Amino acid sequence: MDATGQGRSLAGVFRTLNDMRERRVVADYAIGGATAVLFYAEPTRTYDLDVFVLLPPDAAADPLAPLSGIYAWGRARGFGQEREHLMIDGVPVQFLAAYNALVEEAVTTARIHDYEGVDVRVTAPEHLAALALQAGGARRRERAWQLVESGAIDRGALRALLARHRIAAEIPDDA
Amino acid sequence: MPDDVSLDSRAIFDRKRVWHREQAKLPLKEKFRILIALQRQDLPLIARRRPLRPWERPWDVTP
Repeated sequence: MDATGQGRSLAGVFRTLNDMRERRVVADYAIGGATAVLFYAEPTRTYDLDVFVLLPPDAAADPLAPLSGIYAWGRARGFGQEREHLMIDGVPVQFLAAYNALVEEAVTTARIHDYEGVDVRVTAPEHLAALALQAGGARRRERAWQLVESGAIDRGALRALLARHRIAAEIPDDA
Repeated sequence: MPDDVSLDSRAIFDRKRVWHREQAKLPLKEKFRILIALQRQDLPLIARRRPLRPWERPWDVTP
C-alpha cells in the first residue's frame, strides 16, 4: 500500500489476512458473508468484507473486547478504522469472532482458493448457506438459495450440516 | 392460452437460471470487478436516501 492508494489490490488485502494468521494476530480466519458467496455464485452487492476469526488463546484475556488485539495490530500497520471496520488497503474489513459452533466449524473447514496467486481462506458454500439460514431474514434466505441454485452446494452435505446444528430448513433435491 | 403462458414463463425462468449459473462461473477477478462497479453505481443512490456510514464507499482497490 502507498499513501496515494496506488498499488492497492484485492490480492494485497488477502495477503494481509494471511499475514495476520502467520503472526498469530488471529488463530485462523475465513472470509464469510456476501464476499464469500461471490467465490461460488454470481456477484451480489456488498460494501464490506466479513471475516470470521478464531482468536488466539491469550485474546480471551479480555472478554469484553476480544478483537482489541486485531485493532491494535491494524493501527500499528497504519490501517484506518471506521467504526468497527478496519480499512485494509481501501477495503472495509469487519472481523467477527466466532460466535457459535457453526461459525467455528466454518473457519476450521474453510476452503483455500487462489486469488491472483494468493491463497485465501473462504467459508465453504454449505456453511455459508447454513449460516444464512441460521441467521434468518429474507435477504439471508435469498443468499442461501442463490448458493443452492448456483450448483456449488452439495445438497446432502448441507442437509447433514443443518441437522447437526439443528437448523430447520427444507432443501429440495432440485431447486 | 394459459398453457402457452405457463410454458413461456417456464422458459423465461429456465433462461434466467442458466444466466445466473453462467455469471457464477465467471473468473473471480471479473466477479470482483463487477462488485466494485455495483458499489460505484449504488452508493451515490443510497446517499440520496440516507447518510452513508463512514465505511460505505466503493472499495479503493484494483480487483
